[in-house]
Order: sequence, then structure tokens, then C-alpha cells
Amino acid sequence: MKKFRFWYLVLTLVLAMSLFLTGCSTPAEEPAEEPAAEEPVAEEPAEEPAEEPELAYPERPINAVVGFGAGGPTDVIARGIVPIMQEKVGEGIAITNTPGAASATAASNVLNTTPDGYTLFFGSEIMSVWQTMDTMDMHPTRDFIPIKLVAEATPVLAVPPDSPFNSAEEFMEYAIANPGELTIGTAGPGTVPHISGLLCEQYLGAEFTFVPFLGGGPAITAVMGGQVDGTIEMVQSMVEAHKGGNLKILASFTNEPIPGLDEVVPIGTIYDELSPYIPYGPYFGLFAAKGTPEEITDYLQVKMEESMADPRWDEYCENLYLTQIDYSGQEAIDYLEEWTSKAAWLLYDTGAAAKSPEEFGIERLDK
Amino acid sequence: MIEFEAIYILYIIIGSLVGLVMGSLPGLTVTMTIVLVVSLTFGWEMIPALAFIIGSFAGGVIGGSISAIALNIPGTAAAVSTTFDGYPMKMRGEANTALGLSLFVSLIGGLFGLGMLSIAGPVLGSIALKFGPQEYFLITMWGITLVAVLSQGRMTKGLVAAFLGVFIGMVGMDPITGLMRFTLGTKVLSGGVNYIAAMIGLFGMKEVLVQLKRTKSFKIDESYKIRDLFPKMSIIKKVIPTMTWSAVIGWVIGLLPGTGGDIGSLVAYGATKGIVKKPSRPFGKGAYEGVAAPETANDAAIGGALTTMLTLGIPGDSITAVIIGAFYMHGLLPGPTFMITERKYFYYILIFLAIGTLVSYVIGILGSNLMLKILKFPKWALVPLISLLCIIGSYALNNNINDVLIMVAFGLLGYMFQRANYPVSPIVLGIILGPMIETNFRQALIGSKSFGNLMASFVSRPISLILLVLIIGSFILQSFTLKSNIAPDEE
Repeated sequence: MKKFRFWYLVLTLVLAMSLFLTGCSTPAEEPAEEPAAEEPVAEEPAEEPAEEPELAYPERPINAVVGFGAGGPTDVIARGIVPIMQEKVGEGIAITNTPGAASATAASNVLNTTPDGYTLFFGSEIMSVWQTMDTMDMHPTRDFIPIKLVAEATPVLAVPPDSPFNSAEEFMEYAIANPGELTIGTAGPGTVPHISGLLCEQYLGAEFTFVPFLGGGPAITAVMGGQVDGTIEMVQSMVEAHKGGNLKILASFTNEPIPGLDEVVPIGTIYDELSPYIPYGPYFGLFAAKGTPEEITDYLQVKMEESMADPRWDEYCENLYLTQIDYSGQEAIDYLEEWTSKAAWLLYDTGAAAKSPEEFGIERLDK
Repeated sequence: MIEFEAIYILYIIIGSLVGLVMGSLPGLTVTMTIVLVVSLTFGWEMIPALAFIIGSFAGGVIGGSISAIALNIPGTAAAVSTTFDGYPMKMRGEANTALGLSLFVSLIGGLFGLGMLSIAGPVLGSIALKFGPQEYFLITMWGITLVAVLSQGRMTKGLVAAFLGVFIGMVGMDPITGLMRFTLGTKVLSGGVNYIAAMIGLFGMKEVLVQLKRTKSFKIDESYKIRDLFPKMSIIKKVIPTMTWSAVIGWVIGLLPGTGGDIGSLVAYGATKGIVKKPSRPFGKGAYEGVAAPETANDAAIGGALTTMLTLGIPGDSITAVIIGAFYMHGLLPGPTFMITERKYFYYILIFLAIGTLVSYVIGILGSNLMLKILKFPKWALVPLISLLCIIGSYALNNNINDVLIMVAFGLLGYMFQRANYPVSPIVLGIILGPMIETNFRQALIGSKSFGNLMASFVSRPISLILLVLIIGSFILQSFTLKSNIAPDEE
């Protein structure tokens, strides 16, 4: 008898688990034969929200894929907005984490599904450098439709607690006078911290030795322990350590002070040369694969707008020092094009890129 | 300040039950368990969610060793080194002794880590920061010397397997430049080879293939009594010294950002192998010390990883990285000032972890008895069940079908290796440690700007020097005992 009881237990468990797993991820498992990306239709979501009652969407749960592990910045932002959106849509929206290859694995999985609006991609700025860093030939506006860009994070420059540098000027002057001597920990090649450092090289004449770490966390650890001379990371990941005296935040890569952190100097007020190129924070937003019907992207856009109007989202952004942005349609496409062009050419000009942006038809924007 | 409700204990019990079951199933790792639990508890209040998460953390780590001993398939990456001696013990008909020992030392290791978290945590958290690329490089190099013991006397074959592992670890995105390496231009390999998928393939799927070829079913011990799962004093006495240093090693490695119980248990096993001159039995043949060392270390690492997370706001390993994410999702930013302003969370975690460790021990004793009974299943039921779990487990890692393909490929590779009498474990060792060795070496090289400076920094950095002395010391000790310990051939 006992033996049978245990049988049932195991069997039930396995069944429950497989149901749970397949239930969450069915759409991602069915690769469609034709790549949706090749459809040449340049769709432009209509300006006015088209709320048609006959739209049979969504009929089943939606899957939002995040290309990084649970708990990373992209995931945290997705988990701030998606549950609110789930309430507004009235159908489940599951967040699936598929980390790997700077989120390109997740994105290509999304592109391989039928573009029916049931598998969405919650993306971040790393999308803009996939091509130039030779990760994968995918482009945020060529292969995806931006439904809504929701937030930007703010990169800040920080040094170890016992660092001789007490201001951004001192740090930069030293880096200009002693090229390559200062080491800067970054979250990896092509990431915003790396790009922000390159901006200083390009426009201030400073020169750094970049030490890439496997993500922002390890880079912050390295600066706290004095393994590198400085790091550039998002403010929300360092503000606690700054307040606790484990590192010193010298400046933010903005022109305006960060609300709630007045003591951090905006680098744009020190160096006028930089101010046209900042704020240069990473963007985060919800994307659908190219080829998704317009009614669906319009519907999702309306629901996103409703979600972003929710006070819980304001509170969430405030707690995590995120800057809210609200771009969709052509505005989002322009924003993404500009971001991508700036990042791609900067990486190329400073020799960090693997491929020329020209290969992908990314135009140089003069600003 | 702290309001404790009885319902929290229920959450912890359910959490550790979930953790034990998931952890013991081959392929479902502790990290994955925590990811599921965190998304499940997202809508809850922070405190009950924390009770549930901590409970499943404690349960999952203990659960990983159950299938390592019973099936030679590690339930989690932290239990890889438990298979080295745990499974041979089972083959000697001592499955219950091995389990009892592993559960007991897990309890002690867990409590040690907890004790250190509560006493020395806030002070020692900052020492972890002094570990830079040089130190990580040395620690991981120390870990890879384990190839010697894993080769079981087939040293050349062991090295072949280890270097294959290191090579496989290089597939995917170059961590320093971001370029794609050895992906053959395919998208399947662009994300690299996930070492957990490889581990599931090499241990789990391989075992399925091996069993398909064999006609006789698993060797089964007939009697299990719960009484037998309580540790025997005579054995405990023998492993007390091993437990002492393993707990310290596990805790310290757990403390280091980025390394957790998986590395901790490997290093503890390696160190024990170097230090213990006269083990109860040769290592790899069912030495009690060989079970005690990794099991103590991987549980002691829990306390270490939580210390770093709470005092510095830095995840100590991949599991605490998920837990720290759970804090973010509730709009809380853990870190030094958080420790002062919201200290209650520190106490909650302490209490939950204490209860969780004890509860997992008790449930482990009751539950592992049942787990062992799985072996009594006819093979036609067990083999498909394991392969099903391997598929589910590898898919659920990243929700990526590529990982399933990789898992199956490694199952075939493992089978071929076993047929050709090559050891399989060094491959896993190479995949786990290879990328860490490479990345840290290159970071150290970039940071010190020249090769000469880098070499000098190994002796000029205090912690690095200590590690260097320890490593050389363990080599000297080992060379005296090498011959007596390792006899060729097993299986």
C-alpha cells in the first residue's frame, strides 16, 4: 500500500510540474518556419488608441520573455510593470527568463514564434549593440515593434571608499594626464557603463583601461573592494553602498541632479562637451516581433499606457531611481534609431566594435 | 520590532518540502527552485514570501545530495562532489549510512553558517571584497586540481576529459570582448553551454543510456529504517576534523561574491583529499570524509552567501542573486544602510534559516527514506521517469529548448566516455571552473596591465599569497599520500 501511495505522489508531482512548465511556455516552444523579420512592412502604430470590442485578443495567457536572469535590472523593471498590465488586460502575463548571449538568445526565440502577440519581448538597450558587437544580426526597430519604452536608468561614476579622488574633475584630470592608468570596471563589452566610459574618452580626451566583468554586480563588488579604480553602473544598484560608505559616487551621467540624490553632481554641469550626449541611460521597454497585427500592438500599447498611469508604477520607479519615459509608435522608433546610431558609432570610433555600423545600414547622426 | 506569526513556520515547512523535492529530482536545481518560488510569491507580503524562499533554499541544498547518493545523479550542482564517495558507499550497501551522514553534516554545516552569519557576518562581510581576480583565479585553480582524484588513477584520461570541459566552457560569448567563439555560427550555441544542462546530460541522461544497455536492474538494499538514517557516533567521530575545515571553507567561499555551494563543495572535497592522509577508505571508494566534506561545505555556504547579500547588498551566489531580486521586486534595496534602517529583515532571515535548516533535516530523514524506495521501482518505470526529469529540468533552466538539445548531446558524450573507460566528472569540473579561471585571469591581466606585474601581484597581494601557500602546501601533502589513496579502476 505504502509503495502505491508513493507512486501516486511522484506521478502527481511530475504531471503537475510538466503541466506548469508547459503551461507557462508553450508559445516559446513552437518555432515558426518563416522568420517574421523578413516581412518588409514598415508598420506604424496608429496614433489614436483603437479599442475595438470585436478584437479577439488575448484569448489565452501572454508570455513576456526577459533575456536576463531573474533579479537583474531588466527583470526587475519588467516585474514592476507587467503585473499591473496583467490586471488591466485581464489575462495572465507570465514573465519567462531566458538568459544568454546578452539577451540575444531570448530575442531570437521570440522572433522564431508566430507573431501573434502571445510571445512578447521585454528588452533593454543592449539590443542596440547586438549588430555592432557581432552578437547576432538583429536590430530593435527592423526586427521588432516597440510597443512602449517605459523607463531609463541613470549611470553614475563611482570609486572605492578609500580612493584619492573626491570629485569627477579629479578623476578625469588624472585620466587625461595619465592615459590608460585608471581601470574602470564595466558590466561587459558594449554595455552602457562601457559606452559611458567611451564617451569620456571621446569627448574629454581621458583614457581608461576597461576591465569587463560578468554583469553589473561583480563590477560593483570590484570597486567596493578596490580591485579597480572606478566603475560606472546604474544608480539604483549603488545608492545603498554609497550611503553606507562602501563606495563614493562622484557624478551622474546626466545634466540634471537625480531626484532624491542632490549630493551627486551631474557630469553635464561640469563638462559642457558631454552635455549634448547625455543623459545616456539604458532604456527598457516592451517589444513585439515584426509582423504582429496592428490591432494587437495598438491594444497592448493602450494597456501599457493605462498601466503606466497607475500610481504603483510611479512609486516603483521612485524607489528604484528609474526615470519614467513614455515612447511608442514613431516616437519610439526615432528614439531607438538615434540611440542605436550613437552607440554603434561610438563603439566603432573608439575601436571597441567588432563590425562597422555601416554594414548594417546604421547611419551616423550628427548632433 | 519583530512580529512572529505561527503561520510563518507553515510557510517554511512547505518551502523546505518544495525545496527538498525539487532539489532531489535530478536536474531541478536550487536556483531554479528559488526562481519559481520567487515568482510564485511575488504578490505576497515580503515576510511570508521570505519565509517560503528561505525554507526552500535550506531544503533544496539538502535535497540535492539524496539523488547524488541514491542514483549517482547529483540533484544540484552543489552535490556533484557528493557523488564521488556517496555513490560508492551506496554500492557497498551503505546507502542509509551515507544519507544519514550527509543529512547530519548538512545540518551541522547549515547551523555553522548561520552562527557565523549572526555573529561575525557584519564584520567579515567586507573581507570578501578583498578578493579580486587574482584570488578567484587561485581558488578556481585549486578546484581544478581535483581532476587528480576524479580520474581514479586514469590520469591521462582524466586530463583529456578536464580539458574537453574547459574547451566546452569557452563556447559562446567571450566574456571580455563579447565576440562569439566556437559557436559554428549557430544560434543553438550562441548562449554557450550551460553547465547545469551539461551536468544533467552527463550524469542523468548518461545513466539512462547505461541502464538501457544493462539487463539487470539497480542493486537494491532491502531494509531501510528511519532509525538507520540517524548518524552513528562512531562515524561522526571520524569526520569531525573534516567537518571543521569544510564548514569554514564552505562558509568563506559562500561569502565571496559570485561563488557558492557548488565551488565550495568542490574545494572542500579537494582540500580534504589533500589533508586527510588516512581516510576511512580510499577517496572515490566510499570514504566517509568524502561525503562529509562537500555536504558540510555546501550548507555552510548558505550562511556565507546570505552574509554578503545582507551586509553589502551583493549576491554571494546565483541563488542569493535571485533572492536579492525578490527584494528589488518588493521595492527594497538591500545593502549596508538597509541593514541599519530595516534590520528586522536580517533577524527574520536568521530565524527563518534556523527553522528551515532544522525542518529540512527532519523532512530529509523522513523523505529520503521514500526517495531510496524509488530504487525499488522496476526499471521500465524508473528509466523513463529519469529521462523525463532530465528533459524537464534542462528545459526549465532557461526556458530554452537549446538546453535540452545540449543535455541530450552530453548524455551521449557521457555514455561514450563511460564505454571507453574515461571519467565523466572532470568534464563538468572543466565546464564550471574553466570560464571562471579564464575570466579572472584575463581580468587580472588587464587590471595589472602587464604579465610581469600580474605575476608579481600573485605574491604581493596578501590574500593571494596565503592562497598560494595553501595550494602548494596541499600539493606537497597530497604527493605523499597519492599512491596509497588511488588505486586504478572502478565501476
